[in-house]
Amino acid sequence: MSIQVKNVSKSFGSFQALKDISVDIESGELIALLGPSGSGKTTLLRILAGLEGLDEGAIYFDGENITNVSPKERKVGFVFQHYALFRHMTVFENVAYGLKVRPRKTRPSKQEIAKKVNELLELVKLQNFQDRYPSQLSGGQRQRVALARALAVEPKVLLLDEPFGALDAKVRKELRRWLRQLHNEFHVTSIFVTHDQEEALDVADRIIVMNNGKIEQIGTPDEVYENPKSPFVYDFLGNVNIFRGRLQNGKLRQGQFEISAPNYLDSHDEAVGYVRPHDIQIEKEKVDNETVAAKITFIHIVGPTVQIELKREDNGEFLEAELTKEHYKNLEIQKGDIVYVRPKQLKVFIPEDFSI
Amino acid sequence: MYLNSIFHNPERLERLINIASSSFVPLLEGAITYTLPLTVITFTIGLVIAFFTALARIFGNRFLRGIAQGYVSIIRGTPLLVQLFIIFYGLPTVGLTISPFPSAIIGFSLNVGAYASEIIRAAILSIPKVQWEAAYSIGMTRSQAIRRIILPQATRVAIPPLSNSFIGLIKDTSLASLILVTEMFRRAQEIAATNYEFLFVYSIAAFIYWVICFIFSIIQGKIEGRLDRFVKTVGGVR
Repeated sequence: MSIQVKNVSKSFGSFQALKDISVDIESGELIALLGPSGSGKTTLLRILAGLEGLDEGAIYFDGENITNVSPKERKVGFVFQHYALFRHMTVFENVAYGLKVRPRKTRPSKQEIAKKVNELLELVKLQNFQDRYPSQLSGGQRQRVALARALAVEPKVLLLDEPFGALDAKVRKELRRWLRQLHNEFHVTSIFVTHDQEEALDVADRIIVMNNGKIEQIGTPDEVYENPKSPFVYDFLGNVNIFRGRLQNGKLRQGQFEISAPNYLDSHDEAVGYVRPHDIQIEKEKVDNETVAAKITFIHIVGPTVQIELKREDNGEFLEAELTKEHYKNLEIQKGDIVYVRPKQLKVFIPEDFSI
Repeated sequence: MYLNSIFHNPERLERLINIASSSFVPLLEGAITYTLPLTVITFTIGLVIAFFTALARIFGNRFLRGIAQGYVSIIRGTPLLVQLFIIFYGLPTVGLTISPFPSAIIGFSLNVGAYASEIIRAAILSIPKVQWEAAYSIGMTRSQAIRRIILPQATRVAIPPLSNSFIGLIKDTSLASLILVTEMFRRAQEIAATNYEFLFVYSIAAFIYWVICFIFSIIQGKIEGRLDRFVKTVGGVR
């Protein structure tokens, strides 16, 4: 089912949670709503589910205006942040209930319900747990029951509110892959809320980046990562080094130090260059003006990558670089060394374009 | 002193044994024919009143909420004995005469209804909002959500305080003796009035009350155990 959100606004008291939001989501897409807490992502999700009303605007499912349709009639599956399983029911009953409570006309027979529930439990790999109560399951298992429960009613849209937020890193990753697979199998339009950029980049077809109740950018993971439209998006999607300077003739200048920025030909007195840590190159000799001297303050080895913290010799600002372990070994650097830092790829934003 | 005087006086000991054996049966009869039925009937009616009062206070419009609130406020704000006296001794002056047992039923039911409605209201409100939302999200109506999701969970919360009310009610029924219901305590008063062994006879009555309450607290434990099955984890730790 395709979803259109048209000019939706929502306030809680004096706090404006959503400001004139419009999005088009195609049928079968897997969408991540990404943003910091308070950005409005969960509010948008709850409005889509009908659990929250909206002040202005409209929601369309397959072109049909469902703004005033109750959650029960929207055919939406919702997976809650803390699962919200029915604690007084077994796993089996939890999954079966959405079918059991249907009006007689559309209710499947007992055998059909049991068959369906067994299929779903197999899908979430919990067929041996059907008689357990939620309190007897681990977090990851509860989350899978919640998913099976939401899928049991054959929703046209699956909405997930921070589905993996409360799980440990390994289970998270596993469930993430599994959600992706599930989506490939069912092709149900799915939207999940997350504040974890890695999760969004890893799983989603498209990412909607939100901030302060507004949409900052919509795009594929590659688009938003490689071509962030605003400093916020750049900052939110990964670690970042900031170089403030003056933009002139395709170069960002900071006194003697200049960084080539061939894609930016206009001139500005105030410009901010953003560089990802893995786009910072470390050299031991000064060869030209496109490097700046910095002292290594910290070396942190995380598995195959090495994070290096540096302090610039000229203005004392801190920088962060990321190297492969191999590269790091070849460089033969250590804490306290003075090295030359070269930003290889620069994204420039002009602050006045993004004034708040 | 009292015990001393009994055991050093065989005649008195014999008299007390006689009184005990002759009064125990009428007392127990009073408990079985009046105290227990009064308790069970009024508690049942009271729970029904309490349930609808709680629903009115949570989901009702302003009018229903107002009525429910007024009812709870009046009943909780006046002594139970005064309520019983108004029903039994007061109403006849406006032409409404109700015999003792029905008067007691009405008075105690209204009383239980008011107190228990607060317990039920709190139990329903203690169930997290997300349980409602989860119910709606899989297609339940409000009444389905109340019946199948909220009440079963709220019951577990409400059982201990409701059991408290029930046990309180068993003992409160002794007040019915003052509106001429011949329940256990009234019989104890009558027996004691003929033989003047107040301490002895009232102690027997007290003992029977205690045994009844003890039995019901065992039943409460059993019910809780049953409802607890879903909060127990593998290791038995909550």
